[in-house]
Amino acid sequence: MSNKIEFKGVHKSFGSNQVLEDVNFSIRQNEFFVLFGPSSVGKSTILKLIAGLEYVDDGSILIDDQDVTTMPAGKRNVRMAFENFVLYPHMTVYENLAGVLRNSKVKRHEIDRLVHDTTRMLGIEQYLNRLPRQLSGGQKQRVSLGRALVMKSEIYLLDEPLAHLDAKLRNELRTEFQDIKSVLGNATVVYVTHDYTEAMALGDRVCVLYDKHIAQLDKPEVIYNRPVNLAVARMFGQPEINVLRLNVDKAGGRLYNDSFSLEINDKKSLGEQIYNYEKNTVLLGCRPRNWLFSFTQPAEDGYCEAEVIGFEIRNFRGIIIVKLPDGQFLSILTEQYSSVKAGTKIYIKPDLNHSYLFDVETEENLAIGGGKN
Amino acid sequence: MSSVNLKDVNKYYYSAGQLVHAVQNLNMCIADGEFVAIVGPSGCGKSSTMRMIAGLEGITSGTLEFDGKVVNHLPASERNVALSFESYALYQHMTVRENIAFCLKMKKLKDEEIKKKTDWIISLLGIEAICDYKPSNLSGGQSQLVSLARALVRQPAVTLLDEPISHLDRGARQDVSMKIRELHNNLGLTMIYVTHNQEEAFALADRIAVMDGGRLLQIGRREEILDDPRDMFVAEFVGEPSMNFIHCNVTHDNGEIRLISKNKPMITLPFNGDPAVLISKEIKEVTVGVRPIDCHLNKQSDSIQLSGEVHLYEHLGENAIVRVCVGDYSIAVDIDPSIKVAIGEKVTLGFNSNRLYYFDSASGKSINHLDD
Repeated sequence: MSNKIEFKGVHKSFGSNQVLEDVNFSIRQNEFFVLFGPSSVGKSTILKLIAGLEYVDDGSILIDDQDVTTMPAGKRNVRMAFENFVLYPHMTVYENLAGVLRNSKVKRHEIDRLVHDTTRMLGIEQYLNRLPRQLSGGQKQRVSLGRALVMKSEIYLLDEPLAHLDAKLRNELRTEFQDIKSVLGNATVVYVTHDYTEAMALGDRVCVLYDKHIAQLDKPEVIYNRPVNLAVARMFGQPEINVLRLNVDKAGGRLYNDSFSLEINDKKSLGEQIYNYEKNTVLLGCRPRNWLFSFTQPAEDGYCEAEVIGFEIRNFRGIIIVKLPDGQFLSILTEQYSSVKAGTKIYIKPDLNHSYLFDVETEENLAIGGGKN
Repeated sequence: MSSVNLKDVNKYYYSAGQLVHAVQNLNMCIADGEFVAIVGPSGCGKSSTMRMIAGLEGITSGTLEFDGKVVNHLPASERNVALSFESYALYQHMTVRENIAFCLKMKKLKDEEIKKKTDWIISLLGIEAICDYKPSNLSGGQSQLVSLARALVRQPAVTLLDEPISHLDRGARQDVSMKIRELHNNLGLTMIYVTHNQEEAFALADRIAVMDGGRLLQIGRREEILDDPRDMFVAEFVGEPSMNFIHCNVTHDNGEIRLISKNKPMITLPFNGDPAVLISKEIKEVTVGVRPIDCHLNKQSDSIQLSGEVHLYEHLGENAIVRVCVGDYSIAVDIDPSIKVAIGEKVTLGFNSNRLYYFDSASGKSINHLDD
């Protein structure tokens, strides 16, 4: 598959504030590529650089192997939709879409066909004669998206198209986007979001931006299952991954702190990681769904007695909020949603078969080469 | 702390020359020390309800009681109600500590008393480190905690929270919601929490009130709302993705009731409720609901099995959503992400008949609650 868009050593600053530092990546032809990261990390800046609305300070950008670093926006065959789209309130849905095409001098019968094709794809064909104020929030959002998609292009840049919708609607539209995605199959889409579920559900590949750099670029499941560092592990997953700070006792084959003492000898993978690790403390990450727990004292070793301080219900699953003796909070996901009372005693331990170890200083995943410095 | 009791409360507004019945015959009883969330889509009347309790809106008809005393006539300032808004409304020119102490100063408390109370709430919320900051230097989560501290320092009888965490980013959200929960546990506060996000409501509250169109549809413990929704709106509103519905005709077959789907393919579903209800109420059509989490793929033990084709697969990290096309139906399934299916794959979709919910198609009411 050929590369559609390529960033080579891109630097970008706004005044003294550096946003991107030596960013390199390439987006493949017809890929659905998600740019993901916390707010103000430079996701939208990358989109604007591709569109030609901003220019790089250093480095180069290639589209179709052609250097476009200094090409003005109007000459790039790129369509962009912004986070807060605007619809003309006095124009019908049809006119809102057709207006985009008229500005580009598309022939009349061609306009008609494109508008109908686009609205059919977005499921708003029956509203063509309505004014924006006669539409619901989700319908308006689709019309706005239609304004970006109605012009045929090989590259679509979408900046958080679902961000302003309420939670329920956002989930619905995210699902519908899967269909839109298949229709856009012969175009390259760059999609910006700060919602990890959107990134996971939609992206062919996800590029995680963190602190001016690309932290990880891979298939969404790989990022979820093998995060390169703690920051990425924290961003993917809800509730957030629990992190324990543990002392390393190589001779005794265990990791421990005031609350836990975890045998790692028999856990081949973690044991190996620790064997090659030089420092005295390590961070253990274990997702809320991978904890072992019991409300009566288990016969096995390694469980820590803790107190339940709350119980959340999330989509028919329970989240037990636990306070450790040292004051740290953890969340534990269960398949049951019958409430656990605050104040109940609980015995917990991380499932080491589903845990990660991170370097205490660099916070890199030891399994992917952290802790070597 | 107080109990809050709303009896036949109505609220009318004039809006653009039209009379809007924003809250209709609302009856709600909130016990002392309870944590109740009011949820519903925008325009459902939840904010009007909150504003009436706070005393920011008049009550058109009905009574509002705190601890058995009618407070309809009391202005907001005399109700001892604390409000924490979505927008924190902190005084920008005052430090965090001054912001918190301000309302105590207005009450003309002695300086040492003010200091004692301020210190108490600051340590309770663990915001010692930011005490001397101005609001402009605070993050969203910190501002929300300060706003909460300011609301609670007066030790209010009732605390009202209006979408306190919905606009915070994920980390701060988890932090603030844990603090809110701890405060509630430790102080035994009567808290009313208003939000449009069902997920937040279910995360925090003991009991949930679901409103729509100015009416209270159901109030109950979280499990009650999930296990026994009174109507289709409540059933659909809670959970993501929403409950799957299959519209069916009721047929009588040798005294046994069967439900036959209206669309293709023809699905025959059992009726586990009381057949006498269907007959006495002359119900001809029933909508059967099944939650995505109760559906499985290729599981032998399920009592109802349908063959379909995978139309969509979303890996969401903690879980995966699969949409399966069964004839005209698109059924959402919430499964463990370790189960992999490809789009276009033929699968058997199954669920257990004891996990079905039944609604009267005409009124939308649950078959168990037709007379409520």
